[in-house]
Amino acid sequence: MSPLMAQGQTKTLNPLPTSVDIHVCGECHGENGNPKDEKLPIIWGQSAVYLEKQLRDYRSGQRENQIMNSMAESVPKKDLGLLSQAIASKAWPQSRPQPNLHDNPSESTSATTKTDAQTCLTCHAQNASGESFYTGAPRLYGQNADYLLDQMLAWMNQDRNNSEVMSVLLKNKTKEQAKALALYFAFH
Amino acid sequence: MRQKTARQQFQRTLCAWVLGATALPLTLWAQNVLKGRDAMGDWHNDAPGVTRLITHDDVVAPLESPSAANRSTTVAKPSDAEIKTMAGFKVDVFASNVDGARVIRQAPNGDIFVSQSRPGNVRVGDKYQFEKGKITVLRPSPDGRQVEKMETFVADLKDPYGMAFYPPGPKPQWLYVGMQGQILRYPYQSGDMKSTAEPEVIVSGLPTGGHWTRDIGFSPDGKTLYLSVGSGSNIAIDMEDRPADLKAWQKVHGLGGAWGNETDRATVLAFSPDGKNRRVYATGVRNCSGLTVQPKTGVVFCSTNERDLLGDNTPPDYVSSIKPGHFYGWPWIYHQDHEDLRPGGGPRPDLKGKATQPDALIQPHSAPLGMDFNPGGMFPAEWTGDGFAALHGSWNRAFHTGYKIIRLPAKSNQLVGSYQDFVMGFTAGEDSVWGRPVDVKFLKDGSMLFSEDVNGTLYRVTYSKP
Repeated sequence: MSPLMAQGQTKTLNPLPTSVDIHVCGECHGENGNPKDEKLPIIWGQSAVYLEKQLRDYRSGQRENQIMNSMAESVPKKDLGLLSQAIASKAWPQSRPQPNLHDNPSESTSATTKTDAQTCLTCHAQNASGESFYTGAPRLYGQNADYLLDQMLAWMNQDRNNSEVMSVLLKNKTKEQAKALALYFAFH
Repeated sequence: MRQKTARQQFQRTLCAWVLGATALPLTLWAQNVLKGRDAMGDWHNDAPGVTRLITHDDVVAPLESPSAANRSTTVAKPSDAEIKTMAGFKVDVFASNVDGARVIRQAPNGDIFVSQSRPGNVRVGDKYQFEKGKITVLRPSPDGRQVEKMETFVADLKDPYGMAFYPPGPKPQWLYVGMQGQILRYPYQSGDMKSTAEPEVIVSGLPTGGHWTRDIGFSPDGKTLYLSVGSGSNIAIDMEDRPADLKAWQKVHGLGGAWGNETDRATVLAFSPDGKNRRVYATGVRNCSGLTVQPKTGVVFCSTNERDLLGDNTPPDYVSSIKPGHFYGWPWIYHQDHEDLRPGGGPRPDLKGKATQPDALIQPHSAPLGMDFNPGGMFPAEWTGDGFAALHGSWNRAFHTGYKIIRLPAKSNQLVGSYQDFVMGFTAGEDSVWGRPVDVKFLKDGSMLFSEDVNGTLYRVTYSKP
């Protein structure tokens, strides 16, 4: 049994070209799926469609991150889809460290946050097999809270602008609302 | 599963051993020069006073070692961490909680301006704050040791980075600010700690995305405004087909000027102080994040991050004078005649040998950012005129390198080519760092300030003869 099967992996892996080494992703995003730094996203098990779009945007510089801009360039353009599928077919990590919340966690369970979250779930909700209703939307449930907050603030600050829908939806949010949403999705 | 070969382990052990045996008498500042491969190393063998010399002949073949992904995890200062420097020097905290501190400039009245390009240090469960970029003014106490007063000059900016007072001299009227997409200028009177009026847009329509650190500076006569524009990508891999008439293109965009989505990127541009008369000053400078005009000569200097993904020791970063009309290689060439075949739009063998060789080569992946020249007045007299640069530190290398301040000796206002480890100690084990130096700036009293953007600290380096 392959190590992937041992992790409860059931999907078929596409054979990756030799130029692509998925272990390189694991250097930062975690061999076991839990990134070393909670400001980085969990990518094992994330939507393949979403991952491919991000890798393409990193490659073109439309999404900006010095390391990811270069890493995406290291993969031949034609192999970005295969790499995304390989990452997507790994298992989303089951357990990860619980948050150390100094701030008021009740904020994340307020009625306003739940209403906000419903709007997000229009696209981001997953079915039983972990796929979003809209295939281009990434999984949010169980994602690292620091990463979610960082990204929402980046949308609000126009540091990230590779989706018009997200730019519009987050335009008038406050940082407190963003924080509450990050906690909601990370820990509910 | 970090990619560390047995050879790398051996080199590291050997270097550490050799240095351990030789680096102790710091009086041997000048004599103790590591050359070529011996000069290439990582944080294990950094030591105050070690001098390194990497020359054009030492450029290592691409992918001799695999390209590593080794991002440093940033942490708070560990209790046992200690900054190291050379005998006679002292490094003290000047200001803390200056989140995301980047470029430092001193106004003629002594106030210190710091750009906090991206101050948000977002931690949901821990520290939580978020602001857009801003510029903060720190007024030093009369003894220069600490901050007496701190004000926000202007907030809510997108990626403010380089700053320059204009006109040069004792009575500037404006503060120019380089941002990702534009250059703004704010009216300024001596003593202002808060901006009092709306800014004027001096240059607009600068490219966005990719490298974003736009540094600026004025020629000593105040007639020319220089701006660095980093590349949009690592190596222009998706650059479109080349222009039909390459000769005509280069006439406008400079020798080796890139095209398509990389048009006028990896350049130093020049303008009149009113933002008009835009022209390409130099090309092929991948990401000049530390543009400095040498006060005595008016020569433009850049510290530059070279390309990624060619292995641990390829190619060297550099700090160099940037000559008008010259081409420094990106994306097709590195270090004069090493061809890079990755850029889109096909190879450019016609540029081989046409790239200017930079002055001082730095250990690959060190990420040099800000630089300045020592005006004299406090540091050892023989160091007057020397360059100093901040190395932000590596990610594309099996073992971390950089994360230190270096001295670049100069003779007759020209960099000699070697560099010396000056201030270090920001690494905390194999994976973590608690400081990433960003800018160095000499103050009027001859002391040196440097910024780091992990914990948002400004340090002041002073010297008294031991």
